[in-house]
Amino acid sequence: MTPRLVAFMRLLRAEGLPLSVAESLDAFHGVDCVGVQDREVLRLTLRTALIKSQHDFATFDALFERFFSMPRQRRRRRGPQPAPASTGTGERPAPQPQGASPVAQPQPQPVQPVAGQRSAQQAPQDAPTVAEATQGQILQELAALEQAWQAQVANPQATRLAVAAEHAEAVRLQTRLDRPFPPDHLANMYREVERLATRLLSRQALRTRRAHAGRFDLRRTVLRGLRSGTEVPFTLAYRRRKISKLRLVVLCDVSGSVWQVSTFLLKLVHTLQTAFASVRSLVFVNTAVEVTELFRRMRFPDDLDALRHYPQLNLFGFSDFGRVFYQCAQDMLGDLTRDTVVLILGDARNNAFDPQAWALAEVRQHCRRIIWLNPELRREWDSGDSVMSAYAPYCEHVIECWTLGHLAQAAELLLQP
Amino acid sequence: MTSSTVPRLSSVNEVITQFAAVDYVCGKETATAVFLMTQLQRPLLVEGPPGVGKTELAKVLAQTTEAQLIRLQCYEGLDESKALYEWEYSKQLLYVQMLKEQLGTLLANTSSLNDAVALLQRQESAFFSQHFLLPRPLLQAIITPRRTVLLIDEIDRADQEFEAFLLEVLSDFQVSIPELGTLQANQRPLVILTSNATRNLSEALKRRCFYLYIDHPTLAVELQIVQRKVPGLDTRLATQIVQFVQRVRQMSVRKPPSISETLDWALALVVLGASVLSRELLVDTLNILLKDKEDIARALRESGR
Repeated sequence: MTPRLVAFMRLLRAEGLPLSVAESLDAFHGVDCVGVQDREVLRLTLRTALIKSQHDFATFDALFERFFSMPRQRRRRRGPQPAPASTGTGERPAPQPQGASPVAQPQPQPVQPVAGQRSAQQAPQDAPTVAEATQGQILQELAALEQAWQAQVANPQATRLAVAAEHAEAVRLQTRLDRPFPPDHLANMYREVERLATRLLSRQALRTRRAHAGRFDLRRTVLRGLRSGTEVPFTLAYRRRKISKLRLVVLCDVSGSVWQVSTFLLKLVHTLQTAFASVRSLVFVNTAVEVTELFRRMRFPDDLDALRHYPQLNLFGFSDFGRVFYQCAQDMLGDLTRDTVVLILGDARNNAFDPQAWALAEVRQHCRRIIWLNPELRREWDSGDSVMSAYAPYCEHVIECWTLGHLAQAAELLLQP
Repeated sequence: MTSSTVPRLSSVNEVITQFAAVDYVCGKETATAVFLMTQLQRPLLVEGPPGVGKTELAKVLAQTTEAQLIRLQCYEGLDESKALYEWEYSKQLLYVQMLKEQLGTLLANTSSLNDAVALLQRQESAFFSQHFLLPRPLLQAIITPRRTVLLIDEIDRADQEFEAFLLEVLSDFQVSIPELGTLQANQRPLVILTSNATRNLSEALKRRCFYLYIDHPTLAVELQIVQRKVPGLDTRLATQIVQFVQRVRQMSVRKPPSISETLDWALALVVLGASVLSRELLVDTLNILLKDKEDIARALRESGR
């Protein structure tokens, strides 16, 4: 069973479901506990241990169905010999038996209903080797198992599936955001962006938490006690290092040419918004329109259109960055602080209007930094009516933004203190 | 077989029957998840819409395993001192005041300030002992000798920072208190975390937990629940109630009715002595099931057809 499970987990991973080694081990232990007689229980066990979001249930169930109903050939049930039952595809007999046997020892008999265990160790007795093994050994075993599986080529169809999907995984970060997606794929992409953002968020949370824990301040405690007249200091004082959250202003071009990339950026910012003290969002084509309220409680992707069809927004106008920045310099400066990051997404194609870069310079003077994301390839900047280089001097970071990888980079920049 | 294993939940089906015995109807999904978490002693993260019995699950688990239930309700701004422990500062001060004379005699025959301080330092541990420690739910769950179910309720309401802190506690169930040293759980509590999915939890937290999603129950299951929980309810009326509730959930109402609201409604109808769900009765009592004016209007309109 084990090699088959390993193969299944590989498939899940390749399909983009995030599984960690710890989770895989949990799944193994779980299967040891419940046995493999009941297919339904097996499915639920694997799902409980491996899938941590209800949104992924459908994917998982479909894959489970596909994988575990594939015709499979007879394989050894017991004993150290690998007994290559496969159709003679490259056998590698030497390394597998020792490596694979401890865990791979399948238990076809119903396992004892109660998997006994020691108080501190969570592993059932059925898999003592796993319980006692150190992390390193376990990893080795997993690697060996995987090797064993590969050598056996357990199931050509499964291999093909896994390999194809693994390839997809490799290129995922290279996925271009500006190409049209089929609708169901689009939902996946949003989830991908969200996943990327949450990962960054938890790291951020750890950082602020460390800063929160203040150290006891003896000097101020004593002083306070003296001031209140009692000799005993009743109120404790702590020395706190303040890491205040940043404020974010998003300026997002929503004209037709960049709309799709904009939606991904908005999704990213939407997921990250808890990391900021406040998020103020504006969308623009030739005039900026504030959408902060709508954006805060927005649902993806249903509400995206509402965002774009805001009454004041002239969706069919010509993009005019100069005018938008002028508007910002007029209305927004008072709201900018040294903790404010301004994030701009746009292709800087100004339709030959006046760039009014001085307005952006003005904005720059009032905020902490400006990050500009350009959804065009770098070599297309400044060609035609693009005036990127007029604005670039006032931005801390100017990066391309047309793959998931770029988006990740942007998120990192955003969360920098 | 050690005392820490849960003796009474020995298989998935066993979980179903045990839970049914205390009137908690659950399907295989819930049972499998509970079975796994008790066997492997991993935390279980339960998600689902409000009112489907997530918190109840923890209570029932505590009941069936004869464990004590410790509950940590999360809210925005919850921090370590509220969740883990605090020094009882006022009590320490009170003791200092009361023991003033003793301190006086103790320090009477010291010659210099340095000696006095050194002497006091030796006694310091008296004031930082468990006696002055105020354990909050997390620490309680760790130091209690009894078998425990720790319920961390609505984790999605707490801040991300707290979540990160929780990770450390959940991974090895030990807490370092600088003045006392490290306290280790002598038996791991069974941990249930619930979340209404109002925000995404961190990957790291999810990775350490088993995951269960409880959705609104199917008609058959809900009927079973209503009949178990509301004694004296006519079968026909029960069916009507549940059918209606299920239909309301299909409509796009703002807040779909939860099981607890179904139960409240059924109970009310029993008290009113109803035997069939008539139109007038519906108009009069629907506000028990639905708490939104527009929802009520919509349900009435659509059920009229």
